[in-house]
Amino acid sequence: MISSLISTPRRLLRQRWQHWVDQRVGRSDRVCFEQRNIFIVPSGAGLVFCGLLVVMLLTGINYQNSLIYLLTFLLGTLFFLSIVQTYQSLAGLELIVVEAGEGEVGSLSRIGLRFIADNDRDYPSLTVAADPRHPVNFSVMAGNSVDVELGLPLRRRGPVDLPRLRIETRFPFGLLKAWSWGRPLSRGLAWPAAIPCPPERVGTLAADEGAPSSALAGVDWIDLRPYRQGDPLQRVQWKRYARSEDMVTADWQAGLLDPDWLDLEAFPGVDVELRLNYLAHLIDLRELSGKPYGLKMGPRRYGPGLGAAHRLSCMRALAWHGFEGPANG
Amino acid sequence: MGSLDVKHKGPALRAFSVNWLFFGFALLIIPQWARLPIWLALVTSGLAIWAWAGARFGVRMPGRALRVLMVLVLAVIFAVTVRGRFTVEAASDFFVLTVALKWLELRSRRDLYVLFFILCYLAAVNFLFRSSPGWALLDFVGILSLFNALQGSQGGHLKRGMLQTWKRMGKLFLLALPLVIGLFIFFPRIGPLWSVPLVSDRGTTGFSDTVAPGDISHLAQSDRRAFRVRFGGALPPPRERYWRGLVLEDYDGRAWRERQSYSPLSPPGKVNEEAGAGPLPADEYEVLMEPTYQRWGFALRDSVPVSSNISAMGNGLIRFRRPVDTTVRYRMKRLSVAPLPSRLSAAVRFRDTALPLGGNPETRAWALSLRARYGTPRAVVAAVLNYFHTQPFYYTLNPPKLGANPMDTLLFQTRQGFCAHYASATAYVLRVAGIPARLVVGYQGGEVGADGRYLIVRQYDAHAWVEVWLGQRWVRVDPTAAIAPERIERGLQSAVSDPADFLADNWMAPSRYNNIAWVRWINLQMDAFNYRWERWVVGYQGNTQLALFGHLSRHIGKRELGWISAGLVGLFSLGVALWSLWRARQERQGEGMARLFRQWRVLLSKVGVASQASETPLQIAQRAYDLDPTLGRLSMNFARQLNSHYYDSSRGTPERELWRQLKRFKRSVRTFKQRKT
Repeated sequence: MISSLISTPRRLLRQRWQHWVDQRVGRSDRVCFEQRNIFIVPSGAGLVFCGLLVVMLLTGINYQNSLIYLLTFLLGTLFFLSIVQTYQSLAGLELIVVEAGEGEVGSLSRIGLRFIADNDRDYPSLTVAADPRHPVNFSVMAGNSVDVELGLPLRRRGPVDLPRLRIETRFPFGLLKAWSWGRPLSRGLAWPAAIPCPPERVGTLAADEGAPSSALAGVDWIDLRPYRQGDPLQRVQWKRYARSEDMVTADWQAGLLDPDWLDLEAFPGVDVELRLNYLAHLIDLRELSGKPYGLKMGPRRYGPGLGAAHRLSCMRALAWHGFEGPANG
Repeated sequence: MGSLDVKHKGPALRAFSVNWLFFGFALLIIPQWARLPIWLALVTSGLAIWAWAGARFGVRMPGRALRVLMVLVLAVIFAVTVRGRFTVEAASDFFVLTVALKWLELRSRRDLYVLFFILCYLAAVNFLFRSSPGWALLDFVGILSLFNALQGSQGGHLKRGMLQTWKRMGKLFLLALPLVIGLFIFFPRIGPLWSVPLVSDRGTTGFSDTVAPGDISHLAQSDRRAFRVRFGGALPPPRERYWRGLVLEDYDGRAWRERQSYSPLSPPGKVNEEAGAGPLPADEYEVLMEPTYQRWGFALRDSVPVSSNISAMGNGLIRFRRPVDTTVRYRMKRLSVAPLPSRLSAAVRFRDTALPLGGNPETRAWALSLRARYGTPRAVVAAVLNYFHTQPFYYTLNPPKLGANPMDTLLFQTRQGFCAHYASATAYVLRVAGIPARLVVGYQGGEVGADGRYLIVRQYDAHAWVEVWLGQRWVRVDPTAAIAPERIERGLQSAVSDPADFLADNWMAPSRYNNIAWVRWINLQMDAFNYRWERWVVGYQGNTQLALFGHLSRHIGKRELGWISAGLVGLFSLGVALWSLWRARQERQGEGMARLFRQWRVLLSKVGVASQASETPLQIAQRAYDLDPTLGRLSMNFARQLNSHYYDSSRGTPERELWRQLKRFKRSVRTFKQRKT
């Protein structure tokens, strides 16, 4: 009860702060850290250090000891100067988003970042984190660049706005922390997760109802058998039925088609997201079996083809389905 | 270059950090070493070495149970040895013990910081005990080492390790110096905010308020400074350098004690608050006294306090309001006119002739015979001194034991003694003869400092003499002057019968070798530096500060000093901010081109042409040419254009065009890579 009373204003404050930060830090794939976007405050250790300075000053006053005054002033000034030092351990560094990352929902995508150091300054101790619980430490020496990869869990299919990246340093003394944010403009992409298609749905793959012959053009072996309850109606040989009134179902093994078109429309009555999951799984199956395949998404067709590049374009197409993006835009 | 360099945060501390932390600790514990109880000194250094070896060489550290046990055992030892005495020493000992125990638990960066904080405070505590320039330097080096340890603990990559971190420390220290000095001068010195229970159990320097014969001779083994005196006018001649500290009037047959009945008088006349730092008038002198942990100060007779931190006592002595725990400075004025004759009240006369009943029959008989023969007190005193002068008395640091009737033994048998023996005997004889007499303890003499204008008074100058009431006033009578006049004129070293006795137990003491000219010269120069340090740095306290600025303007008070300090900090911040801005601007001016160059180098590094930032574009392009002529030609072209932009940006290729070229270059790199695969 009480905790909720306290936490609500805190959450509000946090939201307002993040909103302010988002306004201040624009989305860009290239950030140069400088005065405008570097924040600096004492770290926990720094606050304790300030407390220690107060205690030391009190000791100096109460014992009328000049040298303790001197020591306190020295420590205080060093603390003050380390503000500049810490700032300079971040200023001039450049961040480039190399890779926005893509992958299947449920996996980690890899965000590729490149940090380029200023020509005459080292950046000996930096951390970068998308999620504050998993920071990555690195250093960049003057005139060099370093590539860092961050993992980002993919939760929902479609384009992914990359989270705010926090780049922090506490060098040299750890008494202050200077940090800045990068908000990548590039978006990552989450493919639908592969979910195996239940066997009774597999039959609907030969989608073209009016022209089974054309749909079956590449099939080398077809088993004709009497109709059983539950057989997909598309596979009933209607011409034969018209001729002889025998309900005969054409049966063939999935994967025998060459090329085999995977069609978004092939799963009547199934939720679109689930269809995409099925397709993703089927694509992976095709890749495993090494048989060329094509993907049909409404008016768009991909392939037929085989291999990583083809798979990637198919997966991207699935990922972008329903979003404004390069594939549909 | 361009490689994946991902390190995960580990709790492990680097050897670099632990080394420097240990080094800083070693420096900071030295000032404490001599005064620590032996068990604590051993425990502290042992635990620190253990922790260091643990971090450095992987020596096994104690487990949790053992640690808890150690904490308990040490806490009990501490409680038992302290026994409820709450003194600065006990507090510092406790503090050192915490440092020692923290060493046991040095595993994460957090522990390192805790240790850093308590060691910083230890550096401050050190200044309560040690204040000379050498110790201060040691302390500051220790602090910088601790900061160095912090630099190493931040993780990441330290190029050239120690060299780089010390360079940074040096730079920061020099940058900090102006503000530190400014704040030191201007920060208003206010009085203690609350009274600190500053009790010290140290009685190692100076004497106690009880003097038995032979008590002073142990001081003769020490060449520690007691105080230094600077005179506005000429130095007084050696025979007038009698520094009175204590007057002892109660004799119990063995030792002389101070009589507590004197109440402090309010300082006579107006106390000059601003006498602290101005030039010394001809009739004034200034004493810079080392801590004695007692309330007394030392002064010539017939002089009165000028500075307000001391007050005059009824018997012409001076006292501080609180025990002197740091170096203090005070000013005295010598009266040109002797004080008016006064009368001794009957009560005081009775007390100052009182003696315990019985004992020393020979001495008593002798004193009474002197009284009978000479009549006037003055003549009796002269007779006693004459006896000392004519009989074969020896001035020695190692007199034989005196036994049950000490005065009889000294005066008529052994005839060997130190100043306290003779003074005690003289006062005894005079009291038997009915003449009021008292023992005075203080210092006599002083070595002339390097510039010839101040005196250095050391512990071995400690002295005891007698004051006798001769009708109208107390008159100084020094039996030592009758026995060994060179002690008064030239000091102890020339007075002791055997030169090897001088500082015999203290062969490290520099003063022992004062008969070698260059040693003496170096000693004096070091003392002069030390004097300035203590006068202007250690002794820079409230009154000095106000007097210094009051000298410039009457309107500068503590409040104004506060404003000035704040202004200094503001000015310093402004300076640093402006400098930082200026640097940022300098950098931005060349930034576009630098980035262009950098990205070009990064591209080349992808095809295996690694380069340093210090190389010229043409050098790098040449290397690319060696690798592949096609790519090399493109690189050469780009490098030439970069150069032409650098040398004449108005006529050379414009920056925008260069960026376009870089894009084209990027494409050729990609095709080159494809060609290779």
